[in-house]
Amino acid sequence: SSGINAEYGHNFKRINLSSRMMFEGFLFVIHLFLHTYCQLQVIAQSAFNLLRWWRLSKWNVDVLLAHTKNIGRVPSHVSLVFLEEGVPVEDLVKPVVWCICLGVTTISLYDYYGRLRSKNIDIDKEIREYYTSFTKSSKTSPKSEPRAKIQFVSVENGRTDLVNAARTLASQAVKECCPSLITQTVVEDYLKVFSHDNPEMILKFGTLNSLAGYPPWPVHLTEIISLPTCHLISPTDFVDSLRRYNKIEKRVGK
Amino acid sequence: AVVSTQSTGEYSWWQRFLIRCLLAGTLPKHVAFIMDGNRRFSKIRGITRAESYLMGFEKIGEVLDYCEVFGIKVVSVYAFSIENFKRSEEEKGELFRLFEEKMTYLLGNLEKLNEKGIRIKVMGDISLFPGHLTKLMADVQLRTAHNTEFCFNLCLSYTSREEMTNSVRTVVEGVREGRLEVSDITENLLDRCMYSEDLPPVDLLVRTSGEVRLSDYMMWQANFAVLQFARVLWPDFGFLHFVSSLLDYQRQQPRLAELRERYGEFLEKMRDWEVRGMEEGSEGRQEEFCVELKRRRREVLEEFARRE
Repeated sequence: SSGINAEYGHNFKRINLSSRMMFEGFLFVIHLFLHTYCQLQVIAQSAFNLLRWWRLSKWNVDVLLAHTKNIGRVPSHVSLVFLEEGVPVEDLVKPVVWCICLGVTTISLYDYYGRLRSKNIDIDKEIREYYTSFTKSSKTSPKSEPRAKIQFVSVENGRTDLVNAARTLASQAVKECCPSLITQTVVEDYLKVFSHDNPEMILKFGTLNSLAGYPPWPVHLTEIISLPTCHLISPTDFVDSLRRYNKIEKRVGK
Repeated sequence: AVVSTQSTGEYSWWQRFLIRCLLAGTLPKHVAFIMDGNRRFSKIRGITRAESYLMGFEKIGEVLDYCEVFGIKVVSVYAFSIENFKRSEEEKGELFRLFEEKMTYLLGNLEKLNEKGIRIKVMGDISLFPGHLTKLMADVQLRTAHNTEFCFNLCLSYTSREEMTNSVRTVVEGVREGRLEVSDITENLLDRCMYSEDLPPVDLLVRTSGEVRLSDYMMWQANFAVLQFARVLWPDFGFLHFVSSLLDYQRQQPRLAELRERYGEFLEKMRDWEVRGMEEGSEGRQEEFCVELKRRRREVLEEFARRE
């Protein structure tokens, strides 16, 4: 039977051109189905939200808090990973504001090229505007200015951060003021981004199933919750993600 | 199959059809597995945990067969994390017995392994295992180190952070000993100092049992990999599940290839900046350092293998 197995990898190349083209054709059809299915998920999320737009637009911080009262734990650091192009700023600030309302203390926004970082002033302004309108009609006592830390991360903060930490430690070694034993804690001390502040949950937007250059160090125990898109995102999508996060049993090796 | 004790038998007509279709597209060179779900499987099926682990091991052999068919060159599996040392003595005992059995089986089949060019690599701090296991693991690595056709990479006593820390420690030691300059420390050098050394980056990472985290597994190497979180439990992972993972890889791969290329450009830009600051002879020093590192690691393995 190992003879039959060995046939495919090597002998496949010996198949005539028309047979190969036929299999390429079949593969194309399979991928067409998969792609359509994927796109339908994206469209379904947006369409569903559009249909309920009238009801969803009435959501404010009180409704959000009511829906998340018994949801379990709210992570203290949430990372929003945007792996899709062309998300309007009004949509991408929504999950940021919802996190702030739920008491998330650190929110990091990741996009590969760092375009969000270059627009951070606009985004900051949008966040404040949306926060104001979302908490405006709140019946509970007005909260003081939200205390969440918002940071922008891109691929430049990925592996490069660890390389720079190694270089800093090495320069110190030359000057003989380097810690004598380099432990994981020491390495983390020297990271510029996510130093001792690891995201507990990644909310990933887009159909790309990858971390695509996200900093490798902090994600060892991060739960990666995916949503097809951030376009027309609704608070119920967000609440569902939190519910999924809480359903997970965090075993940590045991 | 060489690595497992069972053969997978012949493939049916629809399996052969799917195989030929998939071979018409791009396939990953390096696939990594987090084989989660053995204990849940034992609860659901009403079998003992030890039996479940054994089925899990046999599943590895089956999956390696599939990988051979699809021309995948490197397969990594997360067999035992450093965190797993926290488990009960009884459970650890079951796992260690299985490891011993499988390592001994591999050592007994060295001829076949070498004939097929299969290299067995173990990534992790194997000194944490009981002495007899460490010896077996070192032995199996040394005796297959020269093979280049296929690499079966077992992550034992491994966590990604420990690996990254070890890599940083290694290069800092190198600077301290005067064998490297600070500006020699590049991403490429850190990569070569990881336990994975010269293995290609992970293209596809599959985690079974529906959990959606990396659990400190190959985070550096899988930075641009396609991540597939499959709901099926590991002992139930079958041909169709694997085909679905590969199809997902084929679908995602073009976008990731583009991002990787952009990252390459970004690194090139950084390199220009680095090269200006770099001292002469940097590449030579890095190369020498990596060769020396490999030699030292091999010496450590030989020391383990010599133990009684």
